[in-house]
Amino acid sequence: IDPMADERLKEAVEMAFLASGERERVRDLLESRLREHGWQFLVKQLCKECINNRGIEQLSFEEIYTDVRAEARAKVPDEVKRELLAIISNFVRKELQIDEM
Amino acid sequence: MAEGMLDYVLDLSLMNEVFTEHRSASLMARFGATHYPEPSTSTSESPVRKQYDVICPECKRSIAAVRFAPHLDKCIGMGRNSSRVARQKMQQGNQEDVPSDSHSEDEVMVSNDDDDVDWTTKRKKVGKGRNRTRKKPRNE
Repeated sequence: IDPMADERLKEAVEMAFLASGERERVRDLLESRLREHGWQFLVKQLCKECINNRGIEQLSFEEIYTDVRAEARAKVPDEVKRELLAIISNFVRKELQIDEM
Repeated sequence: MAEGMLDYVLDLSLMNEVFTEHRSASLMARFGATHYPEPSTSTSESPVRKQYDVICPECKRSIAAVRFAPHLDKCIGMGRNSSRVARQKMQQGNQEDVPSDSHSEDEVMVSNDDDDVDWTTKRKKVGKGRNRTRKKPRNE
Protein backbone atom coordinates (compact mmCIF):
# COMPACT_ATOMS: atom_id res chain seq x y z
CA ILE A 1 0.00 0.00 0.00
CA ASP A 2 1.45 3.31 -1.09
CA PRO A 3 0.96 5.90 1.69
CA MET A 4 1.50 8.71 -0.80
CA ALA A 5 -1.27 7.48 -3.11
CA ASP A 6 -3.98 9.03 -0.93
CA GLU A 7 -2.13 12.32 -0.85
CA ARG A 8 -1.74 12.33 -4.62
CA LEU A 9 -5.40 11.50 -5.08
CA LYS A 10 -6.38 14.34 -2.75
CA GLU A 11 -4.23 16.78 -4.72
CA ALA A 12 -5.73 15.59 -8.00
CA VAL A 13 -9.27 16.10 -6.72
CA GLU A 14 -8.40 19.57 -5.39
CA MET A 15 -6.79 20.48 -8.69
CA ALA A 16 -9.92 19.36 -10.55
CA PHE A 17 -12.03 21.37 -8.09
CA LEU A 18 -10.11 24.49 -9.05
CA ALA A 19 -9.56 23.86 -12.76
CA SER A 20 -13.15 22.93 -13.52
CA GLY A 21 -14.42 26.20 -12.04
CA GLU A 22 -16.39 24.33 -9.39
CA ARG A 23 -14.50 26.01 -6.59
CA GLU A 24 -15.54 29.46 -7.82
CA ARG A 25 -19.15 28.37 -8.19
CA VAL A 26 -19.11 26.94 -4.68
CA ARG A 27 -17.52 30.12 -3.35
CA ASP A 28 -20.14 32.31 -5.05
CA LEU A 29 -22.94 30.19 -3.60
CA LEU A 30 -21.32 30.19 -0.17
CA GLU A 31 -20.95 33.98 -0.10
CA SER A 32 -24.52 34.42 -1.28
CA ARG A 33 -25.82 32.18 1.51
CA LEU A 34 -23.61 33.86 4.10
CA ARG A 35 -24.86 37.28 3.00
CA GLU A 36 -28.45 36.11 3.46
CA HIS A 37 -27.62 35.19 7.06
CA GLY A 38 -25.81 38.47 7.80
CA TRP A 39 -22.42 36.83 8.25
CA GLN A 40 -20.51 39.48 6.26
CA PHE A 41 -21.96 42.19 8.48
CA LEU A 42 -20.85 40.27 11.54
CA VAL A 43 -17.31 39.91 10.18
CA LYS A 44 -17.15 43.63 9.39
CA GLN A 45 -18.21 44.36 12.99
CA LEU A 46 -15.50 42.05 14.34
CA CYS A 47 -12.88 43.73 12.16
CA LYS A 48 -14.02 47.19 13.18
CA GLU A 49 -13.89 46.25 16.85
CA CYS A 50 -10.36 44.91 16.46
CA ILE A 51 -9.23 48.04 14.55
CA ASN A 52 -10.84 50.44 17.04
CA ASN A 53 -9.30 48.59 20.02
CA ARG A 54 -5.78 48.35 18.68
CA GLY A 55 -5.53 51.12 16.06
CA ILE A 56 -5.07 50.53 12.33
CA GLU A 57 -1.51 51.85 12.40
CA GLN A 58 -0.48 48.92 14.58
CA LEU A 59 -2.40 46.27 12.70
CA SER A 60 -1.51 44.16 9.68
CA PHE A 61 -4.07 42.22 7.66
CA GLU A 62 -2.71 38.97 9.12
CA GLU A 63 -3.22 40.21 12.67
CA ILE A 64 -6.85 41.19 12.09
CA TYR A 65 -7.47 37.86 10.34
CA THR A 66 -5.96 35.88 13.21
CA ASP A 67 -7.95 37.91 15.72
CA VAL A 68 -11.38 37.43 14.09
CA ARG A 69 -11.03 34.00 12.49
CA ALA A 70 -12.16 31.77 15.36
CA GLU A 71 -15.34 33.70 16.09
CA ALA A 72 -16.14 34.30 12.42
CA ARG A 73 -15.82 30.59 11.64
CA ALA A 74 -17.92 29.62 14.65
CA LYS A 75 -20.71 31.92 13.46
CA VAL A 76 -21.10 30.25 10.04
CA PRO A 77 -24.64 28.80 10.10
CA ASP A 78 -24.80 25.01 10.22
CA GLU A 79 -27.36 24.84 7.43
CA VAL A 80 -25.00 26.72 5.11
CA LYS A 81 -22.17 24.34 5.99
CA ARG A 82 -24.41 21.31 5.37
CA GLU A 83 -25.57 22.57 2.00
CA LEU A 84 -22.09 23.39 0.74
CA LEU A 85 -20.61 20.20 2.15
CA ALA A 86 -23.19 18.14 0.24
CA ILE A 87 -22.26 19.88 -3.01
CA ILE A 88 -18.53 19.41 -2.48
CA SER A 89 -18.96 15.76 -1.41
CA ASN A 90 -20.92 15.10 -4.58
CA PHE A 91 -18.12 16.60 -6.63
CA VAL A 92 -15.47 14.53 -4.86
CA ARG A 93 -17.48 11.34 -5.38
CA LYS A 94 -17.75 12.01 -9.10
CA GLU A 95 -14.05 12.76 -9.37
CA LEU A 96 -13.10 9.58 -7.54
CA GLN A 97 -15.33 7.53 -9.82
CA ILE A 98 -13.59 9.03 -12.82
CA ASP A 99 -10.19 8.24 -11.31
CA GLU A 100 -11.16 4.62 -10.69
CA MET A 101 -12.15 4.09 -14.33
CA MET B 1 -11.55 15.57 1.96
CA ALA B 2 -14.74 17.51 1.30
CA GLU B 3 -14.57 19.16 4.73
CA GLY B 4 -11.04 20.34 4.05
CA MET B 5 -12.15 21.81 0.75
CA LEU B 6 -15.07 23.61 2.42
CA ASP B 7 -12.71 24.96 5.09
CA TYR B 8 -10.46 26.34 2.40
CA VAL B 9 -13.32 28.11 0.58
CA LEU B 10 -14.63 29.51 3.87
CA ASP B 11 -11.18 30.88 4.67
CA LEU B 12 -11.01 32.52 1.24
CA SER B 13 -14.31 34.30 1.87
CA LEU B 14 -13.23 35.39 5.34
CA MET B 15 -9.88 36.68 4.08
CA ASN B 16 -11.68 38.68 1.41
CA GLU B 17 -13.87 40.42 4.01
CA VAL B 18 -10.95 41.11 6.35
CA PHE B 19 -8.83 42.43 3.49
CA THR B 20 -11.59 44.84 2.43
CA GLU B 21 -11.97 46.19 5.97
CA HIS B 22 -8.25 46.50 6.56
CA ARG B 23 -7.73 48.29 3.25
CA SER B 24 -10.64 50.65 3.87
CA ALA B 25 -9.40 51.55 7.36
CA SER B 26 -5.79 51.96 6.17
CA LEU B 27 -6.72 54.29 3.31
CA MET B 28 -8.94 56.37 5.53
CA ALA B 29 -6.27 56.65 8.21
CA ARG B 30 -3.62 57.51 5.64
CA PHE B 31 -5.59 60.17 3.80
CA GLY B 32 -7.17 61.88 6.75
CA ALA B 33 -10.75 60.67 7.02
CA THR B 34 -12.23 61.81 10.27
CA HIS B 35 -14.09 58.62 11.16
CA TYR B 36 -14.21 54.91 10.42
CA PRO B 37 -17.55 54.18 8.77
CA GLU B 38 -20.13 51.93 10.38
CA PRO B 39 -20.83 48.83 8.30
CA SER B 40 -24.20 48.86 6.60
CA THR B 41 -26.97 47.07 8.49
CA SER B 42 -28.70 46.16 5.24
CA THR B 43 -28.46 42.54 4.14
CA SER B 44 -29.86 43.25 0.69
CA GLU B 45 -27.84 42.53 -2.41
CA SER B 46 -27.24 46.19 -3.25
CA PRO B 47 -27.33 48.37 -0.15
CA VAL B 48 -27.31 52.16 -0.51
CA ARG B 49 -23.74 53.42 -0.27
CA LYS B 50 -22.94 56.34 2.00
CA GLN B 51 -20.63 59.08 0.71
CA TYR B 52 -17.35 59.23 2.62
CA ASP B 53 -14.90 62.01 1.87
CA VAL B 54 -11.15 62.06 2.22
CA ILE B 55 -8.72 65.00 2.07
CA CYS B 56 -6.30 64.83 -0.86
CA PRO B 57 -2.73 65.33 0.41
CA GLU B 58 -1.79 67.11 -2.83
CA CYS B 59 -4.51 69.68 -3.42
CA LYS B 60 -6.12 69.54 0.07
CA ARG B 61 -9.58 69.23 -1.43
CA SER B 62 -12.28 67.02 -0.03
CA ILE B 63 -12.83 64.11 -2.48
CA ALA B 64 -15.42 61.31 -2.40
CA ALA B 65 -13.69 58.11 -1.31
CA VAL B 66 -14.94 56.13 -4.30
CA ARG B 67 -13.43 58.75 -6.62
CA PHE B 68 -10.21 59.18 -4.69
CA ALA B 69 -7.95 56.83 -6.63
CA PRO B 70 -8.73 58.33 -10.08
CA HIS B 71 -8.45 61.84 -8.61
CA LEU B 72 -5.02 61.06 -7.16
CA ASP B 73 -3.85 59.73 -10.53
CA LYS B 74 -4.56 63.07 -12.13
CA CYS B 75 -3.56 65.20 -9.18
CA ILE B 76 -0.02 63.81 -8.81
CA GLY B 77 0.44 63.29 -12.55
CA MET B 78 0.62 59.50 -12.62
CA GLY B 79 -2.51 58.72 -14.64
CA ARG B 80 -2.71 57.55 -18.22
CA ASN B 81 -3.70 60.95 -19.57
CA SER B 82 -1.62 63.05 -17.21
CA SER B 83 1.55 62.94 -19.32
CA ARG B 84 -0.39 63.82 -22.48
CA VAL B 85 -2.09 66.77 -20.79
CA ALA B 86 1.23 67.95 -19.32
CA ARG B 87 2.92 67.73 -22.71
CA GLN B 88 0.16 69.77 -24.33
CA LYS B 89 0.47 72.42 -21.64
CA MET B 90 4.23 72.56 -22.13
CA GLN B 91 3.85 72.93 -25.88
CA GLN B 92 1.32 75.71 -25.42
CA GLY B 93 3.71 77.40 -23.02
CA ASN B 94 6.60 77.03 -25.48
CA GLN B 95 4.62 78.52 -28.31
CA GLU B 96 3.79 81.59 -26.23
CA ASP B 97 7.14 82.25 -24.54
CA VAL B 98 9.88 80.90 -26.74
CA PRO B 99 11.74 83.38 -29.04
CA SER B 100 11.81 82.97 -32.81
CA ASP B 101 15.19 81.13 -32.84
CA SER B 102 13.75 77.89 -31.71
CA HIS B 103 10.93 77.96 -34.22
CA SER B 104 13.39 76.23 -36.48
CA GLU B 105 13.61 73.41 -33.93
CA ASP B 106 9.85 73.14 -33.96
CA GLU B 107 9.89 73.12 -37.72
CA VAL B 108 12.53 70.43 -37.71
CA MET B 109 10.44 68.48 -35.27
CA VAL B 110 7.40 68.99 -37.48
CA SER B 111 9.30 67.82 -40.49
CA ASN B 112 10.49 64.82 -38.50
CA ASP B 113 6.89 64.10 -37.68
CA ASP B 114 6.10 64.23 -41.39
CA ASP B 115 8.87 61.78 -42.01
CA ASP B 116 7.43 59.59 -39.31
CA VAL B 117 4.03 59.74 -40.97
CA ASP B 118 5.50 58.64 -44.30
CA TRP B 119 7.52 55.92 -42.61
CA THR B 120 4.45 54.78 -40.71
CA THR B 121 2.37 54.76 -43.88
CA LYS B 122 5.02 52.73 -45.71
CA ARG B 123 5.32 50.38 -42.75
CA LYS B 124 1.57 49.82 -42.74
CA LYS B 125 1.65 48.79 -46.40
CA VAL B 126 4.39 46.32 -45.66
CA GLY B 127 2.50 45.07 -42.60
CA LYS B 128 -0.62 44.21 -44.56
CA GLY B 129 1.26 41.92 -46.89
CA ARG B 130 3.45 40.39 -44.23
CA ASN B 131 0.62 38.89 -42.18
CA ARG B 132 -0.95 36.97 -45.02
CA THR B 133 -0.58 33.25 -44.63
CA ARG B 134 -0.27 30.88 -47.51
CA LYS B 135 -3.10 28.42 -47.63
CA LYS B 136 -1.68 26.33 -50.43
CA PRO B 137 1.77 24.77 -50.22
CA ARG B 138 4.40 26.00 -52.64
CA ASN B 139 5.12 23.72 -55.55
CA GLU B 140 8.76 22.70 -55.34
